[in-house]
Amino acid sequence: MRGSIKLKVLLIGFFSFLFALLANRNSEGAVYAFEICTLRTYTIECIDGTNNFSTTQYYWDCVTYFGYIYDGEGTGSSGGGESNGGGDADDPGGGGEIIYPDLDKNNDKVLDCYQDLMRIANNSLVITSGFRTTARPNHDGIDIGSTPDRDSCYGQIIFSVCEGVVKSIYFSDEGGWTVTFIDDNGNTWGICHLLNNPKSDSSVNLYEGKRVQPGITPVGRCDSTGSSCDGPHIHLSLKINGAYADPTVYVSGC
Amino acid sequence: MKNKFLAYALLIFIGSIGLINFSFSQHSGGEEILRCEIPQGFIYKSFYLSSSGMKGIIFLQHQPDRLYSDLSIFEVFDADNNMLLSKVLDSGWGFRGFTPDNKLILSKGQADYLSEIKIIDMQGKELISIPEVGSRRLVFDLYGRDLAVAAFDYDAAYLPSVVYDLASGKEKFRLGPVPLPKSNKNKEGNFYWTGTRIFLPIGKDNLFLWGIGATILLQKYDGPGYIWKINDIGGNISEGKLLNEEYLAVSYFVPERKYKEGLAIIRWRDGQIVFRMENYIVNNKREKNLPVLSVDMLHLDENNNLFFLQDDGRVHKFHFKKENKTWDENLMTTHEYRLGKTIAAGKGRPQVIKGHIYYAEEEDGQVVIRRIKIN
Repeated sequence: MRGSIKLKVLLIGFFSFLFALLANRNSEGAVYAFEICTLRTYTIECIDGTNNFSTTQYYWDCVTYFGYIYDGEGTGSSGGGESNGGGDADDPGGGGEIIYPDLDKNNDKVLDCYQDLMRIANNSLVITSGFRTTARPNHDGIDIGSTPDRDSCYGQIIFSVCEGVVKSIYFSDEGGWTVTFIDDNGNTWGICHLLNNPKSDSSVNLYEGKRVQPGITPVGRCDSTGSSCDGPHIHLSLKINGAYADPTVYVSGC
Repeated sequence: MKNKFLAYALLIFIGSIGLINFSFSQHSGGEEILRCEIPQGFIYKSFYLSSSGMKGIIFLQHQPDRLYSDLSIFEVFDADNNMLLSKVLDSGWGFRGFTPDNKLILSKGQADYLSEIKIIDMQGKELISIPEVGSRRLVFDLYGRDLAVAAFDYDAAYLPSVVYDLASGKEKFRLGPVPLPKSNKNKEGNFYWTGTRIFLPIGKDNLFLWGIGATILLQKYDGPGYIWKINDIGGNISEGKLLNEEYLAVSYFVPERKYKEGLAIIRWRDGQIVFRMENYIVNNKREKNLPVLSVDMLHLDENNNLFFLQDDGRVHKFHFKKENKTWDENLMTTHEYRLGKTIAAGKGRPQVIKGHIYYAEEEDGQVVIRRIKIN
């Protein structure tokens, strides 16, 4: 009897999902995603000099399945099943619509063009200070600001540079409000000088452990909160195995 | 009919005046503690306060064609507002505030990288110089005895956290680098290790607090093992801060389907958790009407009341219950100390000292620091 109820619930769930998938399609075709997630804990042995101890780590283990609705004849069909890892606790799936502009065409888990970090009307983004230049040998990242109006960047939403997970959100005197990410290649990214705390900024709603998509997930807003900033811009940094690297290896102006 | 219309118009007019006055009184309700001129060609950037009442103000050279300044001026005033120091710094150097024992901190670097830190006295004499700080952060103990250059997150896997004696400048202790665990990914290749999140020297008896993963330990620089350990605080540690000589605040999170954020207050001497507050985020909304549970803007006043300073100009206060020495999340009061003004992190964040909120505003080419007491 109980097994029969379970089966019915599963069938209803499956058809509801299928219905939602078909009902939400639009004429241009769209990609849909849903995730099956499991909360896992992991015990890690740590070595601190001569001491050994263990610590626990929580993580959300998700598999994202993508479905595609074909355009044209009105015959919808879903397919795919791409495993993606990670997990967005806010939008854990169930058939929510995600329309992806393809901003990572080379599929390296990083935004192709830094132009897509912000979308500012009548302005474009430009590297205002490069990586370890002669004038700024200790500048271990790139500064990106808006042109022709340098102040038009102020308050604009910044989108994630990579596909990965939010690692930390903190304030420092030099970097102002800063968000760091670990991308799915294991590299860490940092964005500094953000306006306000991205955790409490209602236009961003960021939190540690949140899954981000390049050019899609809002991660902060542009400002000049670092100690030597005289105008709104972002400082973008990349670390590979703990060492700073030039972010333009991955992101270009396009 | 005409009289009625006039009466309504009068009421609206009086009401408007009332509103304007109300806004004005809220906006500038703070007690002015310092007013100084912004130097010609410079912009006001930020301010710092010392435990003894000194104020430090930073001005940046304004170059409209650039987004950063190489040249800065910092001015230091004593508790009676006499100027003690006015100094021009160049080549990326900047004033970064006061040590707990009222020395001056200077640093050279940009954004998330510091090439050097110096501690100087009021006469400009260099006391300590620490090169190649990198992306590590400065952490002081409460008394100004120890200075830690602490590596967090993945940086802790590549760089050590080092503690210096502030009086002599000598290295006292170093921890790490702490190796990354062998397995650092889930089966889909997603990285999740959070690494070191708390490294706090206590400043007494060679003690320090270390938070890694979900575990917090009180250890000695020179002793084996640990004095106490909380194996699992309730989630992955986000950050930690010593609130006073008694309490440590730790924020944590669990990335469940309902994302959990939590705050624990721990008596650091014995590792007892005396207060815990948790909230869930679903569809970008917090379930309970609580502030963001981040220790960044968390403070205690002299009566142990807990303050959360919010970016939107509000303060949430949790009253300390003396009878059982804890707080109650249901007894929160909210105050607006700068109505309609968000915290301008780009122009100096508000600071809290002994239950007073200090903030700076620009008025007619001057910088004004005000303070307000939240009752």
